[in-house]
Amino acid sequence: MTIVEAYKLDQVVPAMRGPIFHDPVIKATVEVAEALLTQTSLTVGDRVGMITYGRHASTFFADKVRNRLASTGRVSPLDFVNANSGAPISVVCTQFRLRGPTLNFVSGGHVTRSVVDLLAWNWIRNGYADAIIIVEFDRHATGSLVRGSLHREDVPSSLLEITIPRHSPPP
Amino acid sequence: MKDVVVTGFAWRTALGQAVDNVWEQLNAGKSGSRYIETDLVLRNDRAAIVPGFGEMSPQRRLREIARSAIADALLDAEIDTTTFCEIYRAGSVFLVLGTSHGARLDDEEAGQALPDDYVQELAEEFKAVPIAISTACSSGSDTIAVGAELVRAGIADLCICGAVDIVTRSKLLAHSALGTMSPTDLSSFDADADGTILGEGAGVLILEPAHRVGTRGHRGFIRGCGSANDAAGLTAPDTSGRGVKLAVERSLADAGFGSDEIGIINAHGSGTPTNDQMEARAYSSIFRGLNAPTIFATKGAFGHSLGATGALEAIATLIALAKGTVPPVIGHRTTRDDLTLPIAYGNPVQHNARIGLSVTVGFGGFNTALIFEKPNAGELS
Repeated sequence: MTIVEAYKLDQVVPAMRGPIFHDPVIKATVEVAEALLTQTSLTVGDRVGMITYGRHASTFFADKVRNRLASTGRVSPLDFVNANSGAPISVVCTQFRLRGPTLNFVSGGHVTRSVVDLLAWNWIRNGYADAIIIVEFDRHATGSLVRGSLHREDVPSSLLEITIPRHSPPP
Repeated sequence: MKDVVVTGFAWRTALGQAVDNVWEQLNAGKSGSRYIETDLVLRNDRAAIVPGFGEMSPQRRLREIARSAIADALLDAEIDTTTFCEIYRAGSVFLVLGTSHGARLDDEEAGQALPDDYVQELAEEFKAVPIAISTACSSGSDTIAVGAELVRAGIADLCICGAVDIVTRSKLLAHSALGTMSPTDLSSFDADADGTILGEGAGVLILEPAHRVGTRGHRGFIRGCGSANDAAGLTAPDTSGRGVKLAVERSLADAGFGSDEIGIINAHGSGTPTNDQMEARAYSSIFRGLNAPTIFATKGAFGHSLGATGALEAIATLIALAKGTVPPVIGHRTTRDDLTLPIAYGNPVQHNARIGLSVTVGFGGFNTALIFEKPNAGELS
């Protein structure tokens, strides 16, 4: 596995609009997925799936919901929906129309990673997907790290990373 | 997936926890939905709350409900955790646990914790390797699918799979504001269905390879798993049913079965018009003819237990296969036009199905389908 390109956060995918992209981790996940799909020239659709994993997924909208509930006793339904920890997968699948198998692990480490690899290869080998995007959420010295790779049976995996500076707590 | 055996299960539901007693209540058409004491202004003041856990923080409540279900499931499988180390290979006992939002939107302790802390804590107690999943309302089904793969691959000798979720203020407020909460009652696949009623619970299944079961009894087999994303957005499902259809087709391929081999379907049946429409279209396009499977759904009785629902429905499917009956769908009077399959309502329906399908649908487009086969002691020998 090799790092083929490093993306900067300010490279904005034009179609990324809406409150969901206020979460820098979700925005970075879409950027990683787009770069992986573009460089591999995959035909996207029913046969591309996605798995995310890691203990350090974004809490941007979850914190927002909890803080607002504590201070005003109210909940924004939009923030509630966006707080779904599977939101990065949902946004990527919606953006690129991916209907392959999907899973979101909120555990990390080598055990979860080996389970992720097992599932990805099983889905490809059994013919339920041609490719699986795998994205890991991790901590970084200066903030968060979104690390993505794309698995296909016939091509070696490529790896992309985006580092996100620590952000202020959401309002 | 012939080798994956369900050797035990347990649940915590609004109707109680004793398997046979809850099943009798389901067949009698009883619901665990009750008026709750709340200062919130909601579309509906009812929810299906698990009894017997008293006053405690949301995060602790989540953990305690899960802990008690895990302990009971291991007892049901006749497994003594004190002898784990002697019986199982090191690192071959897994706890695959899931929830949706759980307590993290309401509880500062849960909000500050890492999302798998509650699983790590329980895994340490039950001497298992922790894996945590969160795929909204498909979390429970996905833990079972992952556990089945671990057993099938020979990595897990024992997999404790399941999910837990609780009713909290944020969920009540959000589902009320989103309009997904019914102002009347939950009536899955009814022509007048107008939304869901929230619930809570836990379901835990013990999965083992056939060669480890020995002379113990078992609850059935997992034959296939499939998933697909809707690619339609964070809340709105793909109402064409394409995502559900893909998940079901993948589970059938995984099992090596044709659609005509499915005898019963435990549908997601959330009671929201869009979800019911999506499922109705998917099932009506896959299952045709005189031998189309009978649909049932348990959310009218258990409430929509969100992250836990897939695990509860998996257990209900296994019991329905073993007992040869499916319980009636509570509140159902007139079947929606786009559902062409028979649906159980009014009274329990007898069947002679050997294979059952359980389907869940989650916010974010997470569709998961699981295929179960009824227990048969002869196949283990």
